[in-house]
Amino acid sequence: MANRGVKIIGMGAVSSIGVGIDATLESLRSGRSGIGPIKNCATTIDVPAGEVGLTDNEMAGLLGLRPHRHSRTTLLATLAAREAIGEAGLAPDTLKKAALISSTTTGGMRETPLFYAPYAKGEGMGPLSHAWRHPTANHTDEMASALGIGGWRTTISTACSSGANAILTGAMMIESGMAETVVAGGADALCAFTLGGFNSLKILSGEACHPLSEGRDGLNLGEGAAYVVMTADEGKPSCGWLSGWRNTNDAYHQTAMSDDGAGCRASMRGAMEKAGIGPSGIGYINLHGTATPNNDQTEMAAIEAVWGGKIPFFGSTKGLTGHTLAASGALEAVFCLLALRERMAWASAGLTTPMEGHPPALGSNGPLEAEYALSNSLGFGGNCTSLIFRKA
Amino acid sequence: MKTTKETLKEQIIQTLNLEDITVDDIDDDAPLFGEGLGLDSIDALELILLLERGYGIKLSTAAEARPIFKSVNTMAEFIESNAKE
Repeated sequence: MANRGVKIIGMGAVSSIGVGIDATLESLRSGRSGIGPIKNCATTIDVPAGEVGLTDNEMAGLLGLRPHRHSRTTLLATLAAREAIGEAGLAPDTLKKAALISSTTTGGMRETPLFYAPYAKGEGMGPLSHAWRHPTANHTDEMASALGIGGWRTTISTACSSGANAILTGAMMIESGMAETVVAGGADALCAFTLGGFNSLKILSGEACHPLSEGRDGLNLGEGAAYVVMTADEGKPSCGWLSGWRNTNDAYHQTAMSDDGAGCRASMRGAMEKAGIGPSGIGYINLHGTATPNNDQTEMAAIEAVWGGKIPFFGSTKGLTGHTLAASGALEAVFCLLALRERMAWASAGLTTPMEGHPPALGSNGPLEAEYALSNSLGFGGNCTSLIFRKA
Repeated sequence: MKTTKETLKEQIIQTLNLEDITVDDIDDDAPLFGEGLGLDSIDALELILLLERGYGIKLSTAAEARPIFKSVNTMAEFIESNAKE
């Protein structure tokens, strides 16, 4: 029995392919990638990335916030969440009671070196505010304050599945009656620390990435934020439904996925069980699809195990945005909602020669007829989350 | 020669990175926290450090800071009677 699920009435997105839903949709339609040389993030690592084309002060200006008072992660988060709240048309009284579940991996880490760097010059510590804004929860507190969100709030950090897990948590709160209105999503700013970490793991590509392609050699990092507003209220599900969700663990390795994708297989099957549909109900799969050799091989093994020979349209959008870490699960939730609304499955950006021995990913945008789309988010630590969205 | 208040205002702006504020924007008597300049608790810690580093004044408790950080006037008064240069 199909379960309609939790109602989504607002969405907002900021990434290298667009500030706002309209610009994002335009890039998805035209396949315009936001990946290019790093311009604004201080780093010695020479790789391309998906940077948002706004400075911190420009974002503070757009938000009516004072400059230099927030981390870049907070600014990205607040910009995207403000759009979602605006589209949902939430009144100030509703916002005062709304829950906020936000996720990040970097928090204020991009600015943390500004606190430590003066030590190296014998000058003692830098501005305290940069240490204060380092913890992941700081961005949630600051965006709640900037937007007037006054209900229960928490911060989730489960690596690359964070954004999806924030949305999953929000859905569980609505379903259980713990919240009437939830704003949920994730944000991450491009940051020297994560660039260094992924570089050490040797999984950064030196060129624009090629997910689901033969010979792919790693991912590009990106930055961004996306949020959805979910409600228990009567009224129209203007953006769609979150019908199924499941979080599992691959229990295999700290930073790699098992060869057979056991965790991902279980999260996809679990989400379908929750939605009350079978594999044939899904018309589009937005893969985690980072373009590392390991991720794409594993994820395809899991998908083939679940769908057998009849796989629906599938692809990765990491070739457009880069891997935006905690934002990615939320951003790709928005891409799925837009796919269902526009009746269009998004091409797998950066696809060259399809992976040998596997069916090819979607080469260009295709007509989407089904009611459901599925999004995978697979994080370090084996954390796997699948979300299933239903058209409004 | 600059007055203590003028110097203090410049130091507050620089320490707290208040790029959108000039010395002329800060009233001697306006509240620094909440209303007025709108500073927050982390700014209070920065101001305690400013007293320590800039004027050699160590506050022993946070409660002690409250009346001192009311306005530029109260801060300047406190500095003038306690500075160890």
